[in-house]
Amino acid sequence: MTTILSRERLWHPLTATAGIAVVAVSGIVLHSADLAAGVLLCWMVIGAASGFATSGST
Amino acid sequence: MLNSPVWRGPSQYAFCLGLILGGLASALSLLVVGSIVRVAAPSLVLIVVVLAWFGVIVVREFGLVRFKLPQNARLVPQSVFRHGRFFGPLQFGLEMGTGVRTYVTSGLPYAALVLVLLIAEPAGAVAAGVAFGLGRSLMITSNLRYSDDNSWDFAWSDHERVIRMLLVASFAVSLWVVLA
Repeated sequence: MTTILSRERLWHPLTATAGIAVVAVSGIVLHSADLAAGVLLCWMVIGAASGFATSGST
Repeated sequence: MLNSPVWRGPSQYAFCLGLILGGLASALSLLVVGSIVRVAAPSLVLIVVVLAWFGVIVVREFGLVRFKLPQNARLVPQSVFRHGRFFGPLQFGLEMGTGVRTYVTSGLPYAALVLVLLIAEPAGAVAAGVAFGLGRSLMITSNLRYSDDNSWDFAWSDHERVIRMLLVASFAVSLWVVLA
């Protein structure tokens, strides 16, 4: 039961969404520190958020 | 459909690889077309267009306005699997990853499209294209591992508003950074 709950939490759509949000925050932090990787990370968030948002399409 | 054995093992990875390649192909195509479009207007105008369009998409995303966006409202046919358990899913993923082969249920890809078209440098376009495929791959990866009965879709529906808010917020702050 515990395993099933863990699996459902780990792969829950909210977990994936929160992961994208965390990457977005990381991008801002890196950008604030004048690291170019921050901008690249934000481009990836833009792509990932767009792709994941279409999850209902399949 | 995701319960099918065709989605397990190498087929799943081939599908995800196809999604990434499809997203990359679309992004690079937009980059090429955009390099022509950008000559026509100063960068400030392009930024205003991107922000205005994003604003429209956000309003639409939360159902405050309703209008149709162009989409290829067809399912990818199962006949793509005639190419076998690797190349079939790869083609399926490639077609879906382009974002122009089947339904698009969110407005965010349209905001990303205009952003890549009008603003992105090559590295940004590649990053966004690959990540678009990764975002779609995240769906199928999560779905297959969440349960064996496609209840992931119900979990998505149950939390759709929160998910959309978080995705739009993530997109918005990232947009602020790439335009800064």
